[in-house]
Amino acid sequence: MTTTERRTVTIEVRLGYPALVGAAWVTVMGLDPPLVCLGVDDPAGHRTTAWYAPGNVLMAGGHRWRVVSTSAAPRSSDDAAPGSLGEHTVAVLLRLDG
Amino acid sequence: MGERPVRAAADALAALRAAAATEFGALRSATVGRAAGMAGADGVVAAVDDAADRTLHAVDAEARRLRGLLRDSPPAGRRPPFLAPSGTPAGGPSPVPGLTVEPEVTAGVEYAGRPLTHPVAVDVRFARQGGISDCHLVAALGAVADRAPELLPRATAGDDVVLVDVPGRRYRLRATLPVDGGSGRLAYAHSPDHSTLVPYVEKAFAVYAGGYPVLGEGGLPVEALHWITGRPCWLLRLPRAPDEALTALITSRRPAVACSRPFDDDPADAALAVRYGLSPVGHAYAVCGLDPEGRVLLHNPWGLRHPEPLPLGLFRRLFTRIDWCETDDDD
Repeated sequence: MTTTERRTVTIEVRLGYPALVGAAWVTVMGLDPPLVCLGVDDPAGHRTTAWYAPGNVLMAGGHRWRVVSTSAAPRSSDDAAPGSLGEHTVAVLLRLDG
Repeated sequence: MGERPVRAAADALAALRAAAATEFGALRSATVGRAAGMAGADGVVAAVDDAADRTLHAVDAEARRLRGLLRDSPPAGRRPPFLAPSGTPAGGPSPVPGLTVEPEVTAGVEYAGRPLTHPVAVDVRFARQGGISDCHLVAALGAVADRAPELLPRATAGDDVVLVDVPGRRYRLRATLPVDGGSGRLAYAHSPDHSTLVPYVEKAFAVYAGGYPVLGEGGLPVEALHWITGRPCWLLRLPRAPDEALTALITSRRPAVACSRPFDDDPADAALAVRYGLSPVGHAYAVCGLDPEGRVLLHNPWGLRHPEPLPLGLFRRLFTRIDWCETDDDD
């Protein structure tokens, strides 16, 4: 008997640094809640920048990913230290294939 | 120059120890007097003695550590990058006692052995941010590499030890780096050529800051620039800076890091940030100069998504400040 195990893979995309998604990098380039602007840089040099809402699908690192949820960034002042909001998760991606 | 605060701390510690010893002496006398004749008096006095011993021992250990730092301090100022400090004996590094405790890492990250290797080339691209929000440090490293590489920290390898020297301080690190627990890839800062100097410098900075999670809270580039170079560091607030001062700094050879502001309260500026490829929240970028059209060239410490060249007026509008440090040329 053969069983097939389907593993759930999710990625948290944070404000302050690129997330490694497969072999691609995904970065946050803009926020307009509930929309989030994500940049995808594939290793071959292919690059996209687009706005996504929860439920939208994107391609990154050779896989399809659904934007499960998005989140607004907390407010911060002009004097806040650079990177201080960097650990905030802005989008959660769920792998749809394989 | 970095020696002065360490020496001041050592002196302050010596004074504190003397005062603590006096206080413990008075406390012991009072305890002996009050406990005289009581059952268990000896135990009470012994507890006071034990507390005094442990406290003074801890202070002595810290004082010894500070004096060790003073002995090991490499001289500040012009020096070739990546060379061993003069105190290292010939014939290979000696065993180094007192390794630094491994700085705390973030969830899902663990330490793994990685040898120290130096980058093939040093320029603004040699340091890339990894999975932690320390753009202030990585942008500062890139800025120093771009404009004053002779001021970069030095690192040398020994037996299971990596020594990282910045002005005024030597970090004795285990030859391990934080890696992703699943993939084994370097978890935080790295170099495109897979050399490990950058992550070891970041590890030393994590020791200085109090752990990687603290680095993830962001920070001021001016502090990172000073930690890296030991040189006087300054900040230029953009709204008030005269054009001449601003362009002079941007086109100088002084390492400089520009800090963008958050755009959550202004839809027009948020749209401009997207148009020019800026992060939507406060982020640090290495300043690379002006293009022939007088637009500001910036390098993103992510190693990708570098902003489009920014007209000076727009740069002033979307950024709050430039942190920069003097170089030997300023002497």
